[in-house]
Amino acid sequence: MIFNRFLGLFSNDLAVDLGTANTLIYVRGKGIVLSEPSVVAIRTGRHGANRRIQAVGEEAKRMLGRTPANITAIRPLKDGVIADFQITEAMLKYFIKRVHHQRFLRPSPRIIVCVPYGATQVERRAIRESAQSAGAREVHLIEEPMAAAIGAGLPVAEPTGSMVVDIGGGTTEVGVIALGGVVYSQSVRVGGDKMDEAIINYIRRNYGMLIGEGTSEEIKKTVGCAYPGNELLSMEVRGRNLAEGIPRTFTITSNEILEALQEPLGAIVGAIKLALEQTPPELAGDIAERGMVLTGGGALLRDLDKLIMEETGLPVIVAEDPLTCVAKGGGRALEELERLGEVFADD
Amino acid sequence: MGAEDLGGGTGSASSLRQEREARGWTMAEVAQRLHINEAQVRALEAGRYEALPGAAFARGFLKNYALLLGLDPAPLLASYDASSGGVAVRPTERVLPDSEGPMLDYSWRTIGVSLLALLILVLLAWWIWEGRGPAEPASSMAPAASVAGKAVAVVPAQAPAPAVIRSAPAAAASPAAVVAGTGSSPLLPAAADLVFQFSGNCWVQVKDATGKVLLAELGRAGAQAQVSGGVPPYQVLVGNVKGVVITYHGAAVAFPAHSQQGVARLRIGVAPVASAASAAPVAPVRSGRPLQAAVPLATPASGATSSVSSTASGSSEVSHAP
Repeated sequence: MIFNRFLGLFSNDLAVDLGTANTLIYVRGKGIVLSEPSVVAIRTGRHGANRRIQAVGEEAKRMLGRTPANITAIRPLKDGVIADFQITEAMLKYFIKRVHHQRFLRPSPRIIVCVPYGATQVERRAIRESAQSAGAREVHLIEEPMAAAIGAGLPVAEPTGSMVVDIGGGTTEVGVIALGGVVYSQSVRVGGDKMDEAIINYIRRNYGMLIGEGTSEEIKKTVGCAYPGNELLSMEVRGRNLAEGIPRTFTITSNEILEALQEPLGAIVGAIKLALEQTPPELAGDIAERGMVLTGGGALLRDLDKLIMEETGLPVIVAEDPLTCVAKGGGRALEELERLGEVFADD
Repeated sequence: MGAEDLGGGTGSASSLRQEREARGWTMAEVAQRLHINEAQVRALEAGRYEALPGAAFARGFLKNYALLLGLDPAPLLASYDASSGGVAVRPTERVLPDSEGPMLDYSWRTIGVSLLALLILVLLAWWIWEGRGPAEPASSMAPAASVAGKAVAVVPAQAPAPAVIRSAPAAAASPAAVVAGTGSSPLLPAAADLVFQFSGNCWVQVKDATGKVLLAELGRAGAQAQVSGGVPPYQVLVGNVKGVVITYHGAAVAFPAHSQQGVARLRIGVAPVASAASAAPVAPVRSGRPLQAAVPLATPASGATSSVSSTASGSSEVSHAP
């Protein structure tokens, strides 16, 4: 305990947005210093012994779907929560070490970790314990809608309702926040991953082509859109033809992707509508005046704000730099860690 | 798309209006497309950003409006940032509403005062409780003692003793306290404090101040019982008020007005003065026979005062001098 406190003198406090797709780390007093995909590549020795970390982050992500038998590239988080405890721990340990430059002492920081609002007690505990095993001397959890709202600069402490929609890799969190607390929140396990899956399925169904997750994500980022726009975008895609078994190149347009994304987008819009239905009328009035703010990587999908605007009839704003909102919000809470006890979530 | 040539200075905000008018849209149309109200559109075009709900929303509306008109939002946002002190959207500064204080403020001062008050109450209660025994007799004793002194000095012939002696010969069962019957010294007429003259069957019980039972018997009609030597005041329990007449040092004792079904509890006599009490009254009872020397010593004091207080069910107290 005392030893930990001593080690704490040599550690920087961190806020970690442990996302399904990306992990961001905010260091107290410095800002966001790390943003890497949540992917770990593990190399296994002969006969399954001597497992070693081959790569973490961007480098490991490039290995996804391209690994030989002795290397496995794993995404240890699924649907916003930990799917592989050990690998999550290894990844966190790696990232924590990377943001600490001194090498003599084991870093022992205080950590704020963002958790989905819908995470169960078991899942929260897994996240907490994994952070503790990774070397944290103190772990605080903050719910993602709250962190996202703080990060997006919404007036969360005011007695007016602020609505935030955080579309992450694994989950979409809809939160209505007032007076420093979450009034209503809805979490659906639909996010960027489900969109990628939907694109893969669409292409297999309509083109008879098989593409990987990486390609699917690329398609989503390049020509993906959520609302029929004025311009039609197209993209050349390479995949394996299922009938011939030979790699082929084909062109896909934004309209097709729009069609492919109907199901996950419908789920997100449904969650938003459900949240609006459940919001107390006074807060709903505030939201009608100000609108809702989109954060998370999903908010970068072209015209998603337009889709939600048309579906709900409310103003929709995409936050500045939506990918980092949750981490920035966590960092803001970290800056006043001692004072903001009430903001943090219970187990 | 024309943003560059229109941008710069306050022109940025007005470029929105120019572009809108060029497209022939009314403010209401724009408001409908952006799902905001017309006042907000007017504020955006006039650059009155304070009318919009906060930086995050103002920037968002500005960007949406610019994109709707096909303008580049960057210069507009830059001009917004310049007008709001050169800062873009930042994470919220105030995360929690300020609270005034705890709901119920039990400050240390309040707690201290309460504890002190409690302590005083406890002490007061203890003092009253403890003081009850001595305090009550003391209050009735003080005048009693002075009266006794006077009585002895001025009126020597109060003499309750003869009255008792006259009624002494009756047989009584109580061996300890009933003087006449026990008769270890029959020649010496003991000064009986209490005399019970029964006219009907009646249960009587007499306890002295020390709690010792001096008499407990069923008196038959026509019988008489005497009690002496105990430490007054006596606790007397009478089972049938109509069947007995009690005299205390020669004076008849009145029964309380409301006695339940003939049962009465009486408190007769006063405690002796301290010196007298220590010297005299206990001795005869303990030794089993009345000590002549001791009893007269006690009797003048109590006899002179002869205040009889009778208690009905131990609650109300009537005292009168004979």
